[in-house]
Amino acid sequence: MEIDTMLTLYRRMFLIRSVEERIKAEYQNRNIRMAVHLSIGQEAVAAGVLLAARPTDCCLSTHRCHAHYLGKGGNLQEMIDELYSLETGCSRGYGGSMHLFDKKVNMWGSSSIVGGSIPIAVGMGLALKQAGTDSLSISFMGDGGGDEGAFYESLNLAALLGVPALFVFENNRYSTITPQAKRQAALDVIVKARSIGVEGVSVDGNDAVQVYKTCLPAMDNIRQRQRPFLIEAVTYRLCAHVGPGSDFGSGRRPETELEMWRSREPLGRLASRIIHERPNGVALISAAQANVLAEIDTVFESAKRRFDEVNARVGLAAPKPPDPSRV
Amino acid sequence: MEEHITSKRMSFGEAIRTAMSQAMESDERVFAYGQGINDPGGFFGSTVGLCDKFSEARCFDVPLSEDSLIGMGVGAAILGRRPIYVALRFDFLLLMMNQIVNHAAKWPLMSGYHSTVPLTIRCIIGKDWGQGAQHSGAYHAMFSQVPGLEVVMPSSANDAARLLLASIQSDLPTIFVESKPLYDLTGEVELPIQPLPFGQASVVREGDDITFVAISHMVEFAQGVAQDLAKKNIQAEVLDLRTLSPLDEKQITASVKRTGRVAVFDVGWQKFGLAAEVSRVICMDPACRLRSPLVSVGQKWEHTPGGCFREYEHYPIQQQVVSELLRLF
Repeated sequence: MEIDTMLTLYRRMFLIRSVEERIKAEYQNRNIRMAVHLSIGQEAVAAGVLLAARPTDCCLSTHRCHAHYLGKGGNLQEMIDELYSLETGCSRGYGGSMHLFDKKVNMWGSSSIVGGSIPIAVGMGLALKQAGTDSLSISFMGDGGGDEGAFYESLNLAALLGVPALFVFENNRYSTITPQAKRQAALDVIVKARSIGVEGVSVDGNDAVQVYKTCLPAMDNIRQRQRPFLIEAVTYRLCAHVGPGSDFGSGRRPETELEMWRSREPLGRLASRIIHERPNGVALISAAQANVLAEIDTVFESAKRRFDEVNARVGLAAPKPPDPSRV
Repeated sequence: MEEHITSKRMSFGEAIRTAMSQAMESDERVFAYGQGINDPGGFFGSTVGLCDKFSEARCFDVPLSEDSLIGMGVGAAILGRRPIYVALRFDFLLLMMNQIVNHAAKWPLMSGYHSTVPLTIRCIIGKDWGQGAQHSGAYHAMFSQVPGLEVVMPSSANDAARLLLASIQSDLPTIFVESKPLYDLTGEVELPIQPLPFGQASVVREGDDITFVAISHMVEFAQGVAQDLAKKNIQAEVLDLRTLSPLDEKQITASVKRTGRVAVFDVGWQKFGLAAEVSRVICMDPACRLRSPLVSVGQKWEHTPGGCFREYEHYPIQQQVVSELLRLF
């Protein structure tokens, strides 16, 4: 693996992680007045898949869309403006955190109805094929999406009609707090996909390099053969389903599981690998981190200042403090 | 140079097929799909020959996956294609509710109006010959209640052709509602077909004594009632709304201001539907003063029975409606 590619992956994951950590920190000020679904712990999937994709490939996501938006190259200031409900936001204050949209980079939005964007991605792939391009559509979904009938229907349609679509089954093992095994009688999504007529492969979704390396030939294959493909990326969500908190300790998920997955979180893992493989690894990583935090500072300060300006005019009441009994 | 306009006598189904064909010929982004679209009978003649005329990529049969098929249409539409999905019955749209309401209707707004969804869904309301409870549902009011959707209900061959073309050219998701009795009609269709703007009711009969607000095949029913009233020197004005959403509120209130009386002729049920909406429009306009109570004509408040005797009683009967209206005067 070329060091430049590893550093690009690292920089993208570092951006996603740092933006979401900042959202967590700012959330207590109660001016991000909407639900946020953080991807902390799952960054390698967005970074790996979307680095392998071309700018012309069209991406759709779910309620947990921050990482996909940033991974696709969506504008950071416009994303944070959207979280602060500003009309300069990427969805002009109409979408919110669950509906990030940036046509300039072919980020075509997301659905917060689980499984809802999967058939839409099939349609995008069909449109790209009809228009005679060799672009593909990328459909991010969670394992909860695999509970839905639309998942099976969409895979069938894509296989039947020869649609150039990549289904990214981002398996974080939970739908809110319900584990996959409580929801799906058969767990192996690759077997299910194959039985419908869609080839697929399962990867370690916390290993950005593996995700990227798997996607490159898979995407070439989709373009050339005009056939869909599915990648299961096994990963883990370190925050609660929604909000900045944690759902450990409340009995929703076991803490031993959290400890195990924390030791495998993707950003630290890639950093260790770079340091292990390169004598100047530490310097390379700090170079890759350069300016990211400063840019995030500038972006948040700008959005917060403009939120205050707008609210000085509109005069919304201060929100109630969060209810500690709820996550 | 002015386009040479001719006209041709066509059945309702042929008019629809001609509009689809013209749209597909003039815009390569238009494609059509649906279960059995290539059937030799072709949706009562409305799709016959289309799949032979155009490539398989532009006219194709599909599996029974209603919700995902509409999602697929939404995705293609967002990227600039103009899909036409053909559903044999309105009842099947209930399987597509998630994609129609949660996605097609909301995607433009959720994207900050940076995207459009130029998707057309054709569907047919069944009637007679034992269609029963699950093949005769009329859910146009339900869909008209959703912002971001357009609901179109033509009453004649020429309007159907023109409104279907406008639906295909619209950047919003459009539900194009046909009803089975319309397939018995023939009429002159102007060629080439010109799109008809939405939200423009048409006065199909003039009169000063009472306003009939009608849609779809109930326009013809209302005209029959109007002819019976004319024998008693009561002249009804019959408005064909042509589209439910957007609704031509101005023409409704302008007519009711003049006549002071109104009857609503709906294909669907009478509660929470077109009659309720017409009442809202009238009651909110202080210049509309009714001299007699509003009369509502439509399906009885139950689902359509499958047996022919019960079915006959389920739908409005012309003579009974005439008697009810005569009591107003």
